[in-house]
Amino acid sequence: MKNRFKNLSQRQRDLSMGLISIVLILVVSMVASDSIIDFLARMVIYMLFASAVNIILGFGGLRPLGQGTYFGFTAYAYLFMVVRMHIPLAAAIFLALLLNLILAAFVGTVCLRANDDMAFAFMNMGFNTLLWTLIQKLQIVGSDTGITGSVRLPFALSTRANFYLTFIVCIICITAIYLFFRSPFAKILKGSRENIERLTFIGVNTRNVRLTAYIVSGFFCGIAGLLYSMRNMGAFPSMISSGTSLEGLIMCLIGGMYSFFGPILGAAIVTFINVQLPIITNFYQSIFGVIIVLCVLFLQGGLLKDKAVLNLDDKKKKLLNKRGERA
Amino acid sequence: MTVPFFFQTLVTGLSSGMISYMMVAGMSLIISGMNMVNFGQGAFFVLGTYLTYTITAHIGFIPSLIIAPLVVGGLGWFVERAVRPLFGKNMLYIMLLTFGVAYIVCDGMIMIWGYAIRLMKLPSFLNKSVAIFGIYFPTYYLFMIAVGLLIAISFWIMMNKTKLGMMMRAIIKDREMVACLGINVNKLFSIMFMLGTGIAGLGGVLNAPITGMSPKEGLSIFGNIMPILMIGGMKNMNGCLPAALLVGLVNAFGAIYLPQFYNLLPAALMVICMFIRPQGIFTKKEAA
Repeated sequence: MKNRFKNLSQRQRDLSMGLISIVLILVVSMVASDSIIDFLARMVIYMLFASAVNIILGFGGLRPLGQGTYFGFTAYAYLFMVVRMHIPLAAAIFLALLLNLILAAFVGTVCLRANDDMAFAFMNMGFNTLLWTLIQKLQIVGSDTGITGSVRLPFALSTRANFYLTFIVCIICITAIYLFFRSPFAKILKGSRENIERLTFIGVNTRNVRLTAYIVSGFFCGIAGLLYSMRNMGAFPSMISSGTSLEGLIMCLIGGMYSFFGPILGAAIVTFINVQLPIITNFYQSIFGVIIVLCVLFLQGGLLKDKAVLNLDDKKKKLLNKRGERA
Repeated sequence: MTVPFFFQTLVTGLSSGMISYMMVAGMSLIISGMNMVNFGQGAFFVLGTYLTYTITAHIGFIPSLIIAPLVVGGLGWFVERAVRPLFGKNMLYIMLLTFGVAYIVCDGMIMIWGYAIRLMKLPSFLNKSVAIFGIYFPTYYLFMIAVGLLIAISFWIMMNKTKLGMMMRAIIKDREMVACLGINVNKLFSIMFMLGTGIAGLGGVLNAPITGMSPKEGLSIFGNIMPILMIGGMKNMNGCLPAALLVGLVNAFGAIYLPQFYNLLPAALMVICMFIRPQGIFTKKEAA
């Protein structure tokens, strides 16, 4: 079995892993109770969120410390339009995603202006904090308590139906991200991660490449936020906080940010920890911290790696062994 | 706004600016010297506050001004040892590691001191108010400004006049060259990190009598000091003091004129500054 898996090409591997995870989640959801389905919905949404973050993190090579902005902003925009302005649901979804795109374009343009990695990370986080404080202070968006309302779509009102809707949308979006990763544009994006001077030298406008990736990432984060607001039937300040953004990063880190399925696996693990640990102990954050530290120190590539990376590692090991024999 | 009230607000703003200066000074030293971001800075700040509560109860406030920063700096040494194998790799690893450390420190504080927000009593000679030109100021605020200025001046002297500071400035400019000259870069990094966290701990000590802190705040406090960092310029240590004072003043006056949004002002200021000068307002242009 293991050998057979080794012989598969990268594309076949991705396909088989995707199919296995889809079938697994589907089977679990068939037999599970409502509370487990609620948990599964959260997991699936975070999978989409983590892979959206990974567009700019693992493949873009930037450090987005504030992707939670789009996660929360879309939810807030949607809830605000539906509950406060009484716009029909379909129009509100469309408008919320459009607003999210505009915000992503604006923030991306500003953040990438300095053309400095650290400045980008900090600006990103700054915007996130800004929006978070704004939302916590504004009475019209419910300040601390957030907005709640019946925002589920009319054909998906029950927990189970809403989960299947979420699941289908997430599968479509994750497939879209996968196709995005196989496009020629993603090759240039990876190039900008590896060697940006060289790419500039060839004549590629690297800032535009990064900006496009940033906007795409923000868009998918927004879809995840929209689904999350439907699951919770509300938008809350914690969705837009920097905690959400960092959770996304940690998911990518644990799962492995240089492979496509890494963030998805990481999202499953982190969501499981986040939901189950607080039941057992009061100090779950410190255990989470220990996990992060151990992962950073001893598991830098993450759990999953691409075939090419694995082959490279094997070659390195062989080379080191040869050198050892000679000496 | 009457004149006494104006001056009192001024002093409040300056003193709160001084506290944030202590956090930012350490932060900026770590960023420019080691080229890494320490998310744990807020946690170390709160740790300083909590150490003060315990030490003051047993020994007194003035000894805690010395002991607490030393303890926090000592903890910084361990963090620096953990970070060391990650230099030269993706910067994200260090960010997340310090973040994990912040998680652990915060939960450790909850384990030891519990959730309750505490307050402490000041020694009687600081717990008065002084009249200057007929306007009353709380002594402790003036004391805070004095300590902050003392730290800023000694920091400047250390960076610019001593041999240690010379080596640190050299590391900021060109790390490889310093290593080639036979100077122990790792040791210098340790000293830098301990200094940075220690100053943050001192800020926590000074902050202890003013606002009650909860251990959970260690994580969110980073959002408050980041605007100062950006306004002062990321890798510009001299810009910290003016930026921190500016933000402190904006906060103090904002609390009076825009009470609903005053938490927002530093972040808004940061965004405006990024539009005008992305490299920070207080950064001099580098000679090409």
